[in-house]
Amino acid sequence: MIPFQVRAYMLDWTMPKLVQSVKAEPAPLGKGRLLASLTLLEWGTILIYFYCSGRLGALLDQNFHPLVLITGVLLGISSALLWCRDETDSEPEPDCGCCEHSHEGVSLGRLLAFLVLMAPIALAAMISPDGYGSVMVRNRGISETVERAASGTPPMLKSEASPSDEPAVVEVGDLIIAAQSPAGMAQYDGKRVALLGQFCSLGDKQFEVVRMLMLCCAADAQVLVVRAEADKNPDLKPMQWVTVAGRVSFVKKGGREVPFLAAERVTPAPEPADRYVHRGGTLQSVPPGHFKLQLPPH
Amino acid sequence: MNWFTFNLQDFSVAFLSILFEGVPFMFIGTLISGIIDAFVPSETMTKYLPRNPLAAIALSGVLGVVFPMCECGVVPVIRRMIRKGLPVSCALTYLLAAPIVNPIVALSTFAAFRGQHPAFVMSMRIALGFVVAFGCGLLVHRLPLSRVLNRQMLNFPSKRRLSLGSRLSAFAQGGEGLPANPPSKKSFVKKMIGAVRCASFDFLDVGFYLVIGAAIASVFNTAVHRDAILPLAQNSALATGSMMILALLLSLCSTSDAFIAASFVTFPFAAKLAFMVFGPMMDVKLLFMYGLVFRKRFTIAFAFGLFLLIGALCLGLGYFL
Repeated sequence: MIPFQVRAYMLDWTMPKLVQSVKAEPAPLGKGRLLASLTLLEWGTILIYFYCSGRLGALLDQNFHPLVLITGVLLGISSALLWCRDETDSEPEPDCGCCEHSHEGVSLGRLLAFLVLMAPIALAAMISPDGYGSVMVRNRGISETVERAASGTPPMLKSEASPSDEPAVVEVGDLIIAAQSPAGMAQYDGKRVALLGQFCSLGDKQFEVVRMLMLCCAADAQVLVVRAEADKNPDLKPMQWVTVAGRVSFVKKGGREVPFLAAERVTPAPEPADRYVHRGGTLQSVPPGHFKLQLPPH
Repeated sequence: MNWFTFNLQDFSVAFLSILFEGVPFMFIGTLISGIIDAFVPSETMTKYLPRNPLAAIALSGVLGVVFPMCECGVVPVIRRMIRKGLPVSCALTYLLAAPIVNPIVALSTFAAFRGQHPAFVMSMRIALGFVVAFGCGLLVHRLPLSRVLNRQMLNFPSKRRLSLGSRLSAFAQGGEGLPANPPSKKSFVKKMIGAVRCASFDFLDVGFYLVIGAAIASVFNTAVHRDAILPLAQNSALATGSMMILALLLSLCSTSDAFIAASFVTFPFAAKLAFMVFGPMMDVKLLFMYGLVFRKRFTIAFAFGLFLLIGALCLGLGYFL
């Protein structure tokens, strides 16, 4: 515990009015209150760190970001207020929620409670990556094999492309939505497109182009996938960012049409600034060049 | 298909995202709770309620329209309100209804079901949420408080020389006979400091349960294969039950759960409605958080009761619609 004199010194320049009462009442803070203050400080610091470092984007929709920063700051202030002592500390404890006991003491149960409050969030903050891995995609997503066309051959393309035609840059979600209506399928069927997404191998030259759709937070993220097939097994790491250029077709899966991409080129791509697509207009066609794809020359 | 594959890094992403989404709302809830404690005299809660208990419970069911709260923030608020003298039946009704009967959730439900009769789904969700909350409020109104509240909550009024029983009987008699708190002589600043301190301890109390609930929800969220439940969609009763269990395990925020519900295209409407009504009222994290207010036995019985009631109502609606 910080000695009383040091604490009073520390407060001297931050809260001069309170210092007098601190000096007038040198009783030390209880361990319970100290732990409570440290817990609030830890939570506040982690929230502010995630906001400032930009890592929050991998966990929460942008609408929530300011709220996280404000909460982090307020938790820091609350922590400081628990440190301070004024004359109200000599009065009976205020009606503060758990009032059956003092906040100053620490029983074994309360110590464990503080451990639960402090340890998991700190550990998770240290080990969490900036996105989900392929295990989660498998668990949450679409893992059955796409049924081929009735003939059992690879999906047929409606039209042959001219050598000069550039693929249209579309979103994974665009193709999924297009599959839900005949008009949508007619718009895309046989067209050359380029997709940006994460690579998820299915073996046997088949793979999925994965994009995550965030609703509010990463926990409710939905996995959007378009299945693709290349001439040979792409030598890429799981969940590596790739651009895939190929020709679209639609195949039956579970009684519904789903998009399928006959991949012509699969190239590693830099990770985009935002790993997720978001609700509210994101499942619509993006203008060509939106993702600044760097496709190798055809 | 392996139905359970745990990955610590995926778990940590889901765990942090649930915490970061819930903590601001929980903090707002505890801050409101602290401010209520510091500034609102005990008799105020009952003074503005209708004298008729039925009307009071019904009013509590629609309070979320004016004071929208999510399920994380509402627990500390009603805990404080009960201690300030709000009848438990009214508090419980507000607790259950506020995360559903509020404009934000109405809008998000409408947006999620675009193209799938959004106005109908939204109004069904709100109406069913209100009906269930109102029914539970009426039920609790008839139960002795010793069977509902936990020991801490029950013992609290005696510490303040005011029993909840006397408060309720006074409430039933139109709020007369409630002793008024002596006016506090503390300055505004000191009251605010007291409110923030109070909020801090409330935050830690509720946060403990949020951490445990978020951890359990994250395990399910990332480690359990969703396709394991897909075969259940073929049967209405199984689909409804499994969607409610899913809502319990996922512990989603009520503002976003409609988007998840809408994505289960193979499931019948009744199952999706049950998911959207049951989830905001009862999930893993709430199961722990309710323990701060209610007896364990009551909480478990209440969870089962809600499961059966909402399941039956949704199946009935699904049959007739």
